[in-house]
Amino acid sequence: MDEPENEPASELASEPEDEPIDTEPLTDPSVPYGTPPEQLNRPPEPARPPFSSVADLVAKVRSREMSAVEVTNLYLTRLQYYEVRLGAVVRITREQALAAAEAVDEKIRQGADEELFLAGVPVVVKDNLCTADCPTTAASKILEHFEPGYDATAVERLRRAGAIVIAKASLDEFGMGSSGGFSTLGSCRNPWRLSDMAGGSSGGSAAAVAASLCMLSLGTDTGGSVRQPASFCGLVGLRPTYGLVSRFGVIAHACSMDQVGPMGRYVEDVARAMQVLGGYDPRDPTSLAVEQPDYLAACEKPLVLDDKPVRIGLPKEAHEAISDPLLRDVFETAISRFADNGATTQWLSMPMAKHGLAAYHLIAAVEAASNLARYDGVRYGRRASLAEPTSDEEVLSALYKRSRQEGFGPEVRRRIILGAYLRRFGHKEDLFGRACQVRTLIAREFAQAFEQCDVLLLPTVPIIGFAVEDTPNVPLELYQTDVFTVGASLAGLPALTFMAGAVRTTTTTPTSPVGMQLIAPRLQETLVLRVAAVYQRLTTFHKLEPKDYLDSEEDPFGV
Amino acid sequence: MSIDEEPYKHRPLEKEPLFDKEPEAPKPPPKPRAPLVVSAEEVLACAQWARLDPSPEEVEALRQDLSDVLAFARSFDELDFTDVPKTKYGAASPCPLRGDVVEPQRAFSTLLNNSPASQDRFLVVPVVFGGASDNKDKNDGNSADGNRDGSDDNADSNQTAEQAD
Amino acid sequence: MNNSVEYEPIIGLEIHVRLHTRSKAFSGAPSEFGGRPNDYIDPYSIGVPGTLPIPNRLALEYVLRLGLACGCAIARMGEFARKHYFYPDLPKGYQITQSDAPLCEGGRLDFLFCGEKRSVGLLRIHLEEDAGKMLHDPVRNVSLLDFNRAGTPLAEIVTQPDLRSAKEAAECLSAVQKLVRFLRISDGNMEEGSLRCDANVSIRRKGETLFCERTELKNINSCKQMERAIESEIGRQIDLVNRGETVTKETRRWDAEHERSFPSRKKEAETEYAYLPDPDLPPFAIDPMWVQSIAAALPETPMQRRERYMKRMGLSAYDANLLSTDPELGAFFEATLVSAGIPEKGEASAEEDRRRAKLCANWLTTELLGALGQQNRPVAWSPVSAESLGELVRYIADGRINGKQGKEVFAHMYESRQTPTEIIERLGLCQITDTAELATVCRRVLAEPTIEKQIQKYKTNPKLLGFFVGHALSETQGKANPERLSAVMQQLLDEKTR
Repeated sequence: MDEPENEPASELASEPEDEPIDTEPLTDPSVPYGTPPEQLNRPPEPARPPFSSVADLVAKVRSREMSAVEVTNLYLTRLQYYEVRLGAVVRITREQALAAAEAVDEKIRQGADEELFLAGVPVVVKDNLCTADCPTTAASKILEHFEPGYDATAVERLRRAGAIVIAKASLDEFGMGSSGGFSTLGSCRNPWRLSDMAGGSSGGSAAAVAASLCMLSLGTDTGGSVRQPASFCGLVGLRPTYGLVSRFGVIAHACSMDQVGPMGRYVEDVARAMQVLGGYDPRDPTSLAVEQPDYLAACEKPLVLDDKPVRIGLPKEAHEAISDPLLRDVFETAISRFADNGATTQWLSMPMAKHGLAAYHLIAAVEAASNLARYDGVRYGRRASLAEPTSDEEVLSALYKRSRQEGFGPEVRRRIILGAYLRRFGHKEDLFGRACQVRTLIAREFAQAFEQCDVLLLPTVPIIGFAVEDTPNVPLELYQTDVFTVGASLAGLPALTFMAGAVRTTTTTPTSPVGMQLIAPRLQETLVLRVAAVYQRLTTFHKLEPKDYLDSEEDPFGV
Repeated sequence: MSIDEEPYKHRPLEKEPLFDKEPEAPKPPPKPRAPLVVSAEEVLACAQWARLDPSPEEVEALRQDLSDVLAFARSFDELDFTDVPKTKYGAASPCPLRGDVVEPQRAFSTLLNNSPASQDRFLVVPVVFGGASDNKDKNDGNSADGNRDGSDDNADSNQTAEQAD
Repeated sequence: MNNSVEYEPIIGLEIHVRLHTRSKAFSGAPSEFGGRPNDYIDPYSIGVPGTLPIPNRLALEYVLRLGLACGCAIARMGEFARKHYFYPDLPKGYQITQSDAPLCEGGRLDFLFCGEKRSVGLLRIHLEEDAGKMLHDPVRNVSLLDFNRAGTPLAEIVTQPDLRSAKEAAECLSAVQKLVRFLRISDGNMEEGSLRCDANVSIRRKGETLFCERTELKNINSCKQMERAIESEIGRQIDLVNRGETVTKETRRWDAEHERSFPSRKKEAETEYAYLPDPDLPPFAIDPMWVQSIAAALPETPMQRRERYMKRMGLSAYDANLLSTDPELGAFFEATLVSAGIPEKGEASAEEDRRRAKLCANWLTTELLGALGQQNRPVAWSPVSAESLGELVRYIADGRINGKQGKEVFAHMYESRQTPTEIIERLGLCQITDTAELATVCRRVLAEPTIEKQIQKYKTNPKLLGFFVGHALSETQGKANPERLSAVMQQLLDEKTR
């Protein structure tokens, strides 16, 4: 917006200019709140929200320098204006957000704000997390207008800490997909490059944070669904240890791998979110009863563990699999950065990992087919209509079939059929059983790797991004983007993606972020946070802002 | 430490790799197995079981996709599975148990708000199963869709909505 | 041509017991009856996405109680599986049950058949959740769903096909009813649906060992109906075979009104349920100490009690049956025993204990039940408490009053609700048992001049003892204990006539 298009190439990967914090009023009083975007004939002021991090925002709100209502309005206006270009949200919860902000302000006024760790922080929640005050659809027609009537534990904890849920983010239907394009409500675009997809399945959550439409978002990660879009959008995305964050209220995709994960621009922001989200929930039978460490404090620490340098393991096969020289460049530079700043690096062979993709898809398909059996239009959701009541049992079957065929999108149907096949004809080769064994082998391989190193560093995704037109709809091609993320999912390990660098394929195309992934042993979130925080102290990539969405007039939902 | 300041250069592919390529002993090629062929009938059987209704074009596409994914899983043949147990769960911790305490929850409004059709306090399904007077192929829980054990519906088929109220 | 003698029926039962917990098997919704439709639901009960199951410890305990009472082997780990099928009253599209790893395996179920003890083997007992209910609305011609029952805990018992007649099967079912009531895990009420039973019936030629195709009978609502249904099915199968046809494996629904069964759906192949270990419910260890404590706290089963009554206390089969199958009577009897001075449980008793126990049984079954029966009252209403009855027995067993006096005292007890002690004192009925006192009386009698001649006659005719005893008895106005008196009198007479 304020930078001309034909800037020199050296603008790439340069530090952003130090811009003075706007001292003007944050919102234009002549534009009333609630003005529909069409009537907003100019972009909202200021160009960027005046907060350097979540900590900064929380401090300002708790010190009453700004009210939560003001902050919420600021972000709501941004959201309303920009989200049409991105397709990042399915629903803006304006009234509910303002009411919640009022409540937070009230608590602060009364001095009852000890718990408000995230006071006033605008949050966008993936639409497969149940929210009590608005419908939750999982981006599926079969759940359109569905109101669960309760909050997911993760959402409840954020709200209790004072965060304000301003919108429900779009996603690939039921969390199945790696592009952001399988939402029945439209695709989600990458704010860095609007012709690209944001990734999936938590595409909307990632795009919203990247475009500063909120400061934090919640996604869910089954096979990489938090890390992959976070990587495409230049964010920090954390997949916690399985069981660390409660799954109560998460619309299940694959129970044995689903986890709620926060996304943010800064590692400290994600650490703050984890502090609030993690911990035992008696409503989730797979929830871990462990003490929560101080995640924030971990972000301050150097790359030293027990007086020894942090040992970073580099999975050989993963790095070798990268063919794009631009990506290779970024990764190699990142590795040498770590090596130059106190860590030791070593190459490890992890040959089992490549089988993870097939294993993941077989296991996820079987569990998904089971979890989606409840969507039949009988008790809730969309039900196909019958011309008239009938007593034919075949017709009951037809009612189910039509409701489900019409209600589920193509990818979901595909996965259900795959799951059904593995169970019904599984006796042929017991592929599902084999996949479960492969899962054991992969977990063992990680365990062996962690005997030699403290944390693994590898790419998050094997590509820079994919354009909307090129979005693969042949399953196998699309599934390939998950190749580096499924391992941690299968083994239930904590994994974090951070922005390792940025690339530009030609001098005129917009910058694309490149992410790298850190995997640690179970319950070592502090370790991945620490390493990523060090990287953010060494570099300023994470301070880059996407610009493409600011200029564009494109409407991904429109003609 | 600052980011590289030099102008962007397209690095040549011949750059020295950071790792050593260890010479690998050539592995004997695994015995190739015939790919799993998924037939259209199987796809239809799966669709019936899962209560989906694909069109013939979709059946063909599914058949292809399924075969691809299963062929992809052929890579498992390279692995040694002796003494490898299956991982069936994500959690390493045992399932907790709860005490026999009633936790009142207002779910009726959820039911009502979301149900496609309701009457009085019931949910309505527009399909009927034979009552006590109907002699042919009655439903007793053994519907088109499944076997239920335990003969539970005798009381029900004699009981009508009025009695239930 | 009646060929039925050539065939024997093979019968096995599948019984679902609704466990009497306060909350449901996997969620905190109330597990109750009698409310309005959809009163006892929570989001989990209607399958709202995002809800998760947490197993109810008490439901597990009830299944373990049942399994331990039947002598089953208890699993070391608890594991649950999902059984998938589509039906409107199945909220999640699957039922949480146990497939490979039931909580209890093996064991036996003992019951009485024609007064004799029979035993049927058990295959397994496991925990699962129930589905909701579908009702029929004839006015609008639709089905109505009520999820109150969805998620309530069920114990499923599967027996071995050890039963050999319809009557036996009905008795076995009845025994299960009594057992679950005794164990206080269910009210076992078939009419209300707390107990549901399906029967698997097949026939084979007598003398053969292989099993043939069987049919499954559903929709049986009482033990009597069970007997009729199985008889009808046996007859139908025999007819088929006699006509040269084969019995097909199918499910049939019993119509109590018309006393006929009709074919239902063919039993679908097992794989269609696609049992999947429930990924939401990781396996958990079943603490052996916990199992032991449940076993230790097990109330005695009716059959065990019957054994004890017959062996330890020497009660007749009739009395033992009566007192062991009725929980209230049994409790009353036990309290009576305690009050009569018989140790509660333990080693084989002395002769004395058996005598007392028999007395207790007689007084309870004959006198008390007789009196109550005349007024058509239950034991709970009895004006005579167990303690009082036991006390009365103690008096009789100690010999302080005789049987005739006992009946008198009992009549007073029944009318006035007083304790035996109070009545005996009031009526001055206590028997004289003191030997010294009795000896005094005897000497007095023998010293009488008119008796002198009889003493001489006693030398040759010992049967005259009764004459002397009768005299002495009337001297004491009937208060002397006859046996003691007789013994003392005999001793004195022997001395005199030596």
